[in-house]
Amino acid sequence: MKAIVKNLSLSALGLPCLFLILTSFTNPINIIDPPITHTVIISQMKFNPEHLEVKKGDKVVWINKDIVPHDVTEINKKWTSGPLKTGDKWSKTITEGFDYYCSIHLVMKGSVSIEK
Amino acid sequence: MKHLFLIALLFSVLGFSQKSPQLNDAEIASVAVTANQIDVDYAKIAIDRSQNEEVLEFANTMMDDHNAIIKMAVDLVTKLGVVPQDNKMSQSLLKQETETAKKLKAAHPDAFDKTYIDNEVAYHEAVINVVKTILIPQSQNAELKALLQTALPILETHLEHAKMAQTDISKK
Repeated sequence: MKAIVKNLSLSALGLPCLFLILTSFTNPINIIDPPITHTVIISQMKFNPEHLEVKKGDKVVWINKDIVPHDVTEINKKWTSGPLKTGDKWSKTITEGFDYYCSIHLVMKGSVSIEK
Repeated sequence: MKHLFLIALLFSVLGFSQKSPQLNDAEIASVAVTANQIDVDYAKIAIDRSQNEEVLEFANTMMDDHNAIIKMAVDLVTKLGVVPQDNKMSQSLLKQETETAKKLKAAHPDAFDKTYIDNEVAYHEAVINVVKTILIPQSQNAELKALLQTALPILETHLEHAKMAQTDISKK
């Protein structure tokens, strides 16, 4: 009887531990980082940082802290944020890398790439 | 070459050939507002006369950005209780504007875009030089100095933008 109880106790403690240990190596949820949000500050007529490396699925937020309007436009004009006034924010979930610029101030450029 | 003439004009016509003019904060505020208003005025002429999309977009950006700088300057002097004070440099800028506006309005339609953009390159080079070497160093009030330091990268971006348009126009 004692032996049965002892075995049951070990099973009760051991099996969940074993399950946790195994799943920590096999469950992909534990090895893929959750999406995070990156911030690009637009100030002094620059995108800061100009170049950003993110994981697919991450979000990037652009915040205009300049006194003049800016926008975030894909280099081939596939999409644009539209004008961002002082204090405005615009975000995009990143599914692929791209180069972008400000279509109001053509010399302002930036890029987002996907981490390999 | 033309920008060197403009810079030289700002200094020599006013008798500043040997040393920089000394300006107080009220005079600096006047120069800052005048210089920005002049480029707004040039942009208005371009919007009225040009048919070129790139030139029109550039002129609209000049209108918006220089008006934003003017608003910031007016808000600051209002807050500080400073009345912009007319001075030789502001007067020189306005005199030059009268001559340039005449040239822009008289330019042949085929030559207008080049005339306007060439002037924008020269004007921004001259104004950047004045902001860097006279207005910022001589500003006494920290907020006025900060305003000019904020305006500087905007002017530098305009210059690069104007040079880009100048290259595009010269290819046509």
